[in-house]
Amino acid sequence: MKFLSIKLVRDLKRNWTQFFSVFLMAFLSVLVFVGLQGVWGGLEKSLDNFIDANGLADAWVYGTGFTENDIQSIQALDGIEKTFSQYEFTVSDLTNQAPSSSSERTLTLSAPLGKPIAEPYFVQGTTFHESPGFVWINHDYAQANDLTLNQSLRIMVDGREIELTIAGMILTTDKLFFTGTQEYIAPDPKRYGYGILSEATLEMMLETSVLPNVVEVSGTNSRLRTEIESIMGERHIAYYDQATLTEVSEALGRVTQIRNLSFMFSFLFILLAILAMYTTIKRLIDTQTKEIAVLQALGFSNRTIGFHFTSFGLIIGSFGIAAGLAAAPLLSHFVLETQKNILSLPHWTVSYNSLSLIVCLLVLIICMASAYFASDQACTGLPADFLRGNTKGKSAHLLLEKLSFFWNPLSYEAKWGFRDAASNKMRVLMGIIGVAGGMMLITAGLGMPQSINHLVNKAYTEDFTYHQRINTSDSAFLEESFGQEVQILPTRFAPDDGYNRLLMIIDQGDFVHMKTTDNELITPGGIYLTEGFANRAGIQKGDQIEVFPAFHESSFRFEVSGIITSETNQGAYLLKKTWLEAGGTFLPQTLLVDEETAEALSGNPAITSTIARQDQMDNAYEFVDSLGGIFTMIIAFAVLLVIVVLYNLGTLNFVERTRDYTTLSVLGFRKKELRRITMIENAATTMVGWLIGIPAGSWFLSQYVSTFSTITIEYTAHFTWINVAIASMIVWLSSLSTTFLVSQRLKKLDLVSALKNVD
Amino acid sequence: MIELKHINKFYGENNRKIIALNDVSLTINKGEFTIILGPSGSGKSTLLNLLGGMDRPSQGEFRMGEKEISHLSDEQLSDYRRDVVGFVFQFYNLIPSLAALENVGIAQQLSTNNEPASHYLESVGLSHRKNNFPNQLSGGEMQRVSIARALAKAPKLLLCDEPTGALDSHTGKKILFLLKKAAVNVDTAVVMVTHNAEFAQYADKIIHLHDGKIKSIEQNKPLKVKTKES
Repeated sequence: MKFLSIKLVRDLKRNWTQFFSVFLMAFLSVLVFVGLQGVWGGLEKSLDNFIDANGLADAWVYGTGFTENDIQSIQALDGIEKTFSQYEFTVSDLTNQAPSSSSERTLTLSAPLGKPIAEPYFVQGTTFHESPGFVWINHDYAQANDLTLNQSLRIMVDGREIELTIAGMILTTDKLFFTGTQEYIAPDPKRYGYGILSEATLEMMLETSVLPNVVEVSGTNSRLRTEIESIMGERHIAYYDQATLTEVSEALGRVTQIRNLSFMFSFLFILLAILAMYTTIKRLIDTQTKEIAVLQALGFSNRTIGFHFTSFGLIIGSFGIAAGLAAAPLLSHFVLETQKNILSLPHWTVSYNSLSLIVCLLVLIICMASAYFASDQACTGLPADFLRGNTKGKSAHLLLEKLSFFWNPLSYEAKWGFRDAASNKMRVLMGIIGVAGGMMLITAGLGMPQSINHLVNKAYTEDFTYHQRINTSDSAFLEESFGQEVQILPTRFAPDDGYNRLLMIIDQGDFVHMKTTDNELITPGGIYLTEGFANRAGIQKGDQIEVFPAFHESSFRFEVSGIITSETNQGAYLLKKTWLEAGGTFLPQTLLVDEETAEALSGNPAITSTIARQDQMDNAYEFVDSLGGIFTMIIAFAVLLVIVVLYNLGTLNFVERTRDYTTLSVLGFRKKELRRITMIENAATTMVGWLIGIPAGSWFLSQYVSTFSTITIEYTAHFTWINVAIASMIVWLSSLSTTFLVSQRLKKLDLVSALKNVD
Repeated sequence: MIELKHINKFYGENNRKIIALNDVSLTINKGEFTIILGPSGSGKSTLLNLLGGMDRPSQGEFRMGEKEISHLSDEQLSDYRRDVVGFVFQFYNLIPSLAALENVGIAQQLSTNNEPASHYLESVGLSHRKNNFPNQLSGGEMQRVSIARALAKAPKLLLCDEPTGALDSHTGKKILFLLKKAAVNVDTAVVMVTHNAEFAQYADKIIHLHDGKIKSIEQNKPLKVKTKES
């Protein structure tokens, strides 16, 4: 066995370029899976630790005011273990801002009325106490706005300026992904923050005592949503659980998103590792038939020879896995960093679990098994078979040849390529999967930011064209001001997908232009549902829907007049006219205005908050930018994949045909003619892989994009032909440059060898 | 037609210098059937490589008509092989994925001659095997396809490297007959390297090589090949 080991090492050295692709596929499989597993494993662990230590409610109920009776009724429901009430409200923060500053900051403050289910995590400062005049704000907001402990926070409440002392920096489990407004798709800690204060401070600020407007519930039952709705009646605003409260669901869902990604991406590389190992060992054996015969003649059993070739899989697989494991923490930390901009957690950790170990073992077994099966098939036979030259399975006419109109006009070189491909199916399959996989990854890498940007552009340049959203509760102000009025009502729909959504009632105006799937604008007469909601709830145009809006005792029934192709704010839209005709009361709290009106109304005390459309767009673009590294990484992996697979394919092909190329060269074929022949199989493989890769890329992108969707935002793949053109250009350039590299070997052809023995 | 004057071919340098050909001078004429005989290491293959434009001499002149071959560039040598030379290899060197007719066709397309590939396959008696792949042919049949392929380029010089070396004696004679026929019918100069002295009696000219030197050149009145075909 010692000499077989020496042979093994020398064979690896001699054929390292071919084995490199196997190494790389094993490396990438492990790197991508383990790297991403470390992220979702770590994220899951960090979330679990945070939630276990601080607690998290199962449901959140919003109402206009919960009485003791309401809370007791909720507490008495089946499955409810505990309730906790608080008063939540928003204020403007003027701290560190010049009086004329246009940048607006909003704080969502809550005053716990009792012992909370979710205790805050104190990053800095003192723990929570009841003394008046203090506030604890979230750490990200404090950092983003250079706020420090014991600093005075100047806030505006009901037109009055109040100062509170910052007693500490906190994080809470129910605001893991905190945007502060549903109009932003990603957190912006510079503009939106949250905080807690004592009941005494609350009373000091509001100069009155108030009923709680939020009840947190621990424990649940399947009818909880409707039971709470009937307890609260028209005072009910909204019901959320861990799956629907964006601040929580986005964080918990991120674990699943990254886990899906790790499986999706590493599956491709593992598949290619199998093919690369199988074809490489096959090729090695084809070149060693005489050596196998000699080993057999010396008395080595086929089993021993089989194990010898299996050890190629063991060694290359082990190196690839070791390199992948060594590099995986880098990927883990890189991806984890991108999540830190989005989620708020006290501790971040990378955590690897047994799945990573299983995948490593799987890759190793796959490499060894591929090598074993390749050798087992090739080594079966008597020594004399190998000494004569093993030609089994070589060349046969193809079914394609029966299509004479197609086959006959082909050049001899093309016919040669087709037949070679047919007799090397695994090799060709590897090339096709490699190219198609490359197209898929590049399409996803390019398409993901494009899809989000498209969503943003469509939402804020086509669907909505206002300059600013003005929020107010002053009806006189609304009547005096020029703009498009909007009433937003948290609403339960029947049928629905199990979640409360928003009903947007819009007045006539110039700023809302959403269109239906039939390319029609919203008109009076019926209700319009957004596509994501309609699909999830299984509702179609023409269906009847029951609407149970907040603050209303009775329900309303509408016919679904259309499905709106809007990705943001998944819910329903009604025109004011339709709403009033149905018996609803129009009480708008949002005014959409143009730039001129926004400037004219600037500083008006009736305005509680504003959101500029440009800020919404910038927030979305920043979100895309923060993930740019991941998208670039995906594209880089894709290019690497295409180059390595096609180079390996080209090399295998070239090595197999070297003698034929030499013969043709001796017969007088010029270098450029030979180069053309060397390109045929790679070009054909690239063509097939590319053609498969276009629809596969579209599918993969839609799968990838959908992993980011939430119940409020429906991300849809934006598959443009520019995207296809760029992905195609990258794939073809990679393919052509690889083919060119391989064809450089033509310069080293040894013509004299054509006259020698087949060895 | 072909003239070699004082050709030397060395491999290696200084004290590791190996002299493969030493002051070789000879001529090969149109339609002539020449056999090069010699033991292993005598320089037969080196001489064939030079004649075939696969290698360049270290010293000396190699002319084809008025054209000096030894100074041609790689690309010009490629054209020389394409336009002038036909090769018949000891191990046939057929392309495994091309059928018999296609193996001939791929070479025929290089030449300006308009005869279809099938004509050449027919001339070696293999029309009925035109759709068979090399692995479906016997050794003799493969060599006949190889000859058809060489002839399909209508070469002025047909070089054969031990073309019967891998065949039994009966098949070997058939191949020899085909090559002789080519020399006569197509007016091609055939140069055949062999270690089988028995074939020498069928040659117009016999060149004996030893240690890279021409030991003798004999003009011969050849015997007719006696095979079933003849």
